[in-house]
Amino acid sequence: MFWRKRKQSDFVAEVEAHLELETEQLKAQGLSEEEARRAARRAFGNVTQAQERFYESRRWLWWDHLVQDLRFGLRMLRKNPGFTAIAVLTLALGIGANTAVFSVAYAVLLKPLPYNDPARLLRIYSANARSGGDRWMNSPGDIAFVRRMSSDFKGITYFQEGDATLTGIGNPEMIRTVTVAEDFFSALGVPPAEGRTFLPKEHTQGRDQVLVLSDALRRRVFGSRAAIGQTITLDGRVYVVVGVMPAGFHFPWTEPPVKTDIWLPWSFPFDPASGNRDVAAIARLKPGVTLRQAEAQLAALRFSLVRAFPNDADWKLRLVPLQEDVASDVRLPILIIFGAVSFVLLIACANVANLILARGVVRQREMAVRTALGAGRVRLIRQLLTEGALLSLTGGGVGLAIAVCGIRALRSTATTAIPRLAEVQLNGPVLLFTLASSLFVGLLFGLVPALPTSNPALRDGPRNALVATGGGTRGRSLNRFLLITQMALSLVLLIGAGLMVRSFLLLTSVNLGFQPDSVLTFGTDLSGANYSSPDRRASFYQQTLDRIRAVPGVESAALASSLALTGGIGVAVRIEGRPTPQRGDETNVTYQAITPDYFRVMRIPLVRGRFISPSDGKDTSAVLVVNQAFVRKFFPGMDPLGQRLYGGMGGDKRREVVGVVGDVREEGLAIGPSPEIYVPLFQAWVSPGMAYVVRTRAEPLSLAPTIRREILDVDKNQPIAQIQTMEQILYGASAPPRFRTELLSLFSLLALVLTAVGLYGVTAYLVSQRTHEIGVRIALGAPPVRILILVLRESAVLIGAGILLGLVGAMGLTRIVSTLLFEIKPTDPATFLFVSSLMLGVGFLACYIPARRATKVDPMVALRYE
Amino acid sequence: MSTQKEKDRLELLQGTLDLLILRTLIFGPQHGQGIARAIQQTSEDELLVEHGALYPALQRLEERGWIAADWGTSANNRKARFYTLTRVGRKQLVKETTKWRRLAAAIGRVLGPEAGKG
Repeated sequence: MFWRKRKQSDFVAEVEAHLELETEQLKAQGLSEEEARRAARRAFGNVTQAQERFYESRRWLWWDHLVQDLRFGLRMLRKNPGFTAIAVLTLALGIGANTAVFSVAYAVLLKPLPYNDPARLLRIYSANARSGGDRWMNSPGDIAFVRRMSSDFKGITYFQEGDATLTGIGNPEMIRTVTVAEDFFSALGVPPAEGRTFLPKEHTQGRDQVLVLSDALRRRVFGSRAAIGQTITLDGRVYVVVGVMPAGFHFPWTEPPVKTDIWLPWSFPFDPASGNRDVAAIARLKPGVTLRQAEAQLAALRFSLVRAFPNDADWKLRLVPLQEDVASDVRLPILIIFGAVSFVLLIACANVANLILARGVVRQREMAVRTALGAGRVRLIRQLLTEGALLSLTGGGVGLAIAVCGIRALRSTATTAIPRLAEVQLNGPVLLFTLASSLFVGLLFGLVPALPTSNPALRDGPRNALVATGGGTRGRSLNRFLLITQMALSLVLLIGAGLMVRSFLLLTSVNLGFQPDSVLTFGTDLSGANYSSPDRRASFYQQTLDRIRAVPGVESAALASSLALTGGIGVAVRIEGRPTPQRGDETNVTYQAITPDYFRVMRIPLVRGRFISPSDGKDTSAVLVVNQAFVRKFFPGMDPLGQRLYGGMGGDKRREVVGVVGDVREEGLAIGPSPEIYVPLFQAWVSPGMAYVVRTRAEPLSLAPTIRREILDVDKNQPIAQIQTMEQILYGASAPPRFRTELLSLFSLLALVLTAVGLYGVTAYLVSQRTHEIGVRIALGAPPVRILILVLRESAVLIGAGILLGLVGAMGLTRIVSTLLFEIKPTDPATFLFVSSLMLGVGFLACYIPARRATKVDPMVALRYE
Repeated sequence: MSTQKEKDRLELLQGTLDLLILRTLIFGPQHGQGIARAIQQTSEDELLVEHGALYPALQRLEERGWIAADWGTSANNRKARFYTLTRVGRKQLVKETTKWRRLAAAIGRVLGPEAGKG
């Protein structure tokens, strides 16, 4: 059992020494050298035997036994290729699925971020106790205060994300930028690959035209030329490259197609009193300080914070480990899916254990013989465990191949659903997980059947066991227990998947309020120096819209502040003639500045009044259109037309409601419409960032190159970005729920199939056990129906028990998925009923086939069975 | 050391070798050969100890922690593995000795008084 403490050679040396000593003593007594040597040897006895005994008392024995067990196990597996193939395949499916999902869980949830000591990095958010939401950005005041007062952090740094137009490298491009505070790079602890990061003096206006590049952009712009000291033009301003970050460095984490490529120094004054919430912040914990301690300190500081900013009494700072923040949206789905594949593996295990149990009848005789020949119980169990480990390790090996395919499939289908997807791979930790789970599984189903088959009672009656035809009752009740567990587990999975599917169907069938087909969308950013005046922006928009409309295949084109489904802009409006609300967001509405054709492009229906028309210009009276949700909230049972609103980015200017349109899902699929106002763009502030929507007669993306050329014709330095169809946006919005629904459905179906196979196998086995009895019954004249009922009755009890147990389990467990469900409860009766009936049907089918075979038993053969 | 003498020697009862080894070691560290010799001599050459059989017993006692072993140098400057009695071993010796005495006395009583010496 132990690794040898003493080497064989040490023992040999001891024996040598013994013989020498003895010889010398005998010589001293007067014997000749030759005689003394012989006498010493004689007195010692058999030297070889002594060495053998030493050998046996040491580890080599268990090693020998292991080799023996392995050899024997391999022979057993080879002798039963059918059993081996089914068992290995079942295990491979279970282990493969687990490995694939673990590789995702590891990359997304466990693998440290590529920063120095990433475990100490936290993201700081603001949470609002009144209006809800706990991932708001922070006010400069809060951050300045915490930076000054808190002692638990080694550093608190802040940044702001933005876009900029990159020109001078072929076509103009829109690039993601991050403007960072002084200690940003030191907080992350990643040094630049080339050059340096920002100097303190570069965080002042006038000296801030420097930047740090990502490795990817550096390669694209400069290739193999030196980058440091070169210049790059952003929004018409010239910046000097002072540093390049190493490849693989990202911050903040963004979804795959979007990447942060440029870091700029924060140089504008940090105004603690501004009251805006536009500062993103990260902090690094001091060594030895825990997250709890830091949270407690923040809570203690909150009192003075509220005194300093009484208007912000509802706000509270929140700390989230950076690692958790990156994966916050997928954490729960991944854990749920991981739970689901663990269930699949357990079901696979139960199947294999059942197979082994069924074979146990044969093995029982073998075990009885071995016991009779003197094999100890421990030795028998070891043999069974070795065989189990052999099976599960083979299964694990095949499972790895399945996992490789699975990972490849995951990476190609989950593109937008999972962060850090590029890091999902088979690596050391994942392989270790596979090995550990294989061994665990081998132990599990190796031990379960070991319980009845290595029963020491056999020792007393090997003869009985030799002639016995039936498995022990213990074996059979174990069969039943495993089956019921299996069915319960897969029912829980199926119900979980059923809920997800139903919720997904509900989600994708929501009324969007617009028609997403044949619409091309893209964005611009006119923040450069050329477009500093709203008039110039307006003229750019007008010119480009005219040109796009003239492109063959384009039906209509318009602009909007934000695209449907991607989140809107919130403003507060006031209604003329009503008291000003005291505080809060009673009049918070979604704001869209649009050009007149917007409703036609999106096919948003008119409910009352009129759309915005081209004649609603700068010089005509100010108008707006509201949606039905607005009417429901602010003018219930009243005529909204003719009402006048003000506020909402328009200051005191009064706007008259001229029309009511249908509700549109602006925030996302799962978020119901909120009150919304549409104002004519050219009667409002003309924003530098607008979205184009173009309804086409042809395939929308086929027109993209032509449209891009038309826009470059208007301004050769103006890029367009994020060209995609409205349907792509729609698909993207449903990608995360689609992904988790598909995965969970896949795994629950796998569980169902495995369970059905298990049920089939065990019923067939039970039938074969009763062949004799059934033969007698048929011989005595029992009609086939009776036989069928006889067999099915037993299975019905099992299926019933399994389903009952599963329903109870599902009641408890589906609560976990409740936050992922859309518009249905986790105890949705329809899903429970449907899935249970499915399980019942599949279960009966799996039993019916062997039961039917039982009715065909030839009584003569059955009676001669023994 | 003649062959004649060897035939008359008593074979050891199972389990008694351990006791004898422990007893021998009470006088201080000793190597295997020394132990074998000591048992023979103190038993006035009555006991037959096959020297080879000594080693599995030493092995066993060492594993149980009753004796400890280390390489050292013998009186005549040879390298040998020396065994020492541990504290646990000492306790064990007391226990085994009492047990053995009781057993021997009991057997003696069963066999009755010694019939006339032959």
